[in-house]
Amino acid sequence: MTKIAVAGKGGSGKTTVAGVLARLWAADGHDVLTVDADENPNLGISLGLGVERTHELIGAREALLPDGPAVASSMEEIVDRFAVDAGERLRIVQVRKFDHFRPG
Amino acid sequence: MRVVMLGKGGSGKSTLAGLLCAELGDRGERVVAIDADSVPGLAQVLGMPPTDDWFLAGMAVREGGGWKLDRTPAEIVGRCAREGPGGVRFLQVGNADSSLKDFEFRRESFPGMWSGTMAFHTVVRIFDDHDGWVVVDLQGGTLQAAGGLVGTTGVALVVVEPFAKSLLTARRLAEMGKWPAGMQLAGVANKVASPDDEAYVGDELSRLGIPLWASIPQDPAIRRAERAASPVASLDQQGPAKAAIAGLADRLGDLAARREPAPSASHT
Repeated sequence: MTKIAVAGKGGSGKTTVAGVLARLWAADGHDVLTVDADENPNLGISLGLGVERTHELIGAREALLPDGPAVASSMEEIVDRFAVDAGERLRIVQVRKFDHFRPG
Repeated sequence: MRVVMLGKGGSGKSTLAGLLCAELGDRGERVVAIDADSVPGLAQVLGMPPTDDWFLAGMAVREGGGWKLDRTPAEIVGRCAREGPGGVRFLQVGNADSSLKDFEFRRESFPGMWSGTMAFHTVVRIFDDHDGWVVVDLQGGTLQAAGGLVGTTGVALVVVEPFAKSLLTARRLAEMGKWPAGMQLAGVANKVASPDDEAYVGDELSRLGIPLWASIPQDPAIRRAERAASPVASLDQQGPAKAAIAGLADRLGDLAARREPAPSASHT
């Protein structure tokens, strides 16, 4: 397994680069798991899921334990439970998002 | 009147915050500019040296398990703010300096206050009722807004590029829950290259119940200015971006004039 991290300033194009790389590798026959670890996640849009399905993606971290540290027995468990198909050989796991008021 | 800048990373919050501050300053308004981004960039836009958040040092007192700022906004500004273009008073309260030594010093000296988020929280709160303009540049995305850290009064300017990802951020902000009654959400379309761009942003925002207050054109003058040491000082004063920023300042001034008490002592 090869892991690729994409980093940079906001708006510089991390998500677009990550999405295009993932789609190209998947098209070449590789199994690709994408992880959107941005707190304001948009990778679904770059993968071609569309705005609505991207908007509906669940943050795995919140789903596992809403008010505490995320605990899962293994990476496989997280992928099994939260990965969504975004095309052939292409999946996405969204880590978390902040889309409702939670003062404190 | 407090103005907080919200929007996706890279949408242009810092650039517009800096240009807006300079515009208000040039009009003789009293302006405090606060960079609360954990990746701060407002100093660069204003053409100023990046200060760090340790202006809080010596001003915090212990309260319960945490720290509280024992100073008024005026005292903080008087002691710690640096003066920038148009007489703007600038404060940086995010995590400015990434050097490990500095980080360790902060953590040991001010547990609970070392984090930019905490400093931001405290400073923004105490500036809620500050006289004059307070323009707060926030971190990209929705985290600070979701944490209820943007205060309860003033204007939240949602900066939006004419792209789906940028609008999804606006949607998350709009649908986050019930915004405080004293907080007006308003949209600013940025990097607008055509009437189509403006219509797209305007339509999408209107669906979210966010009025479009300004449309900032994709002015080559801004791109050039962004490469210069001081974008604010380098901006073409006759260009379309400058005119759009002036329009935004007018709009904010109208709202401020309608709200009591008078938010600013302008030198007219």
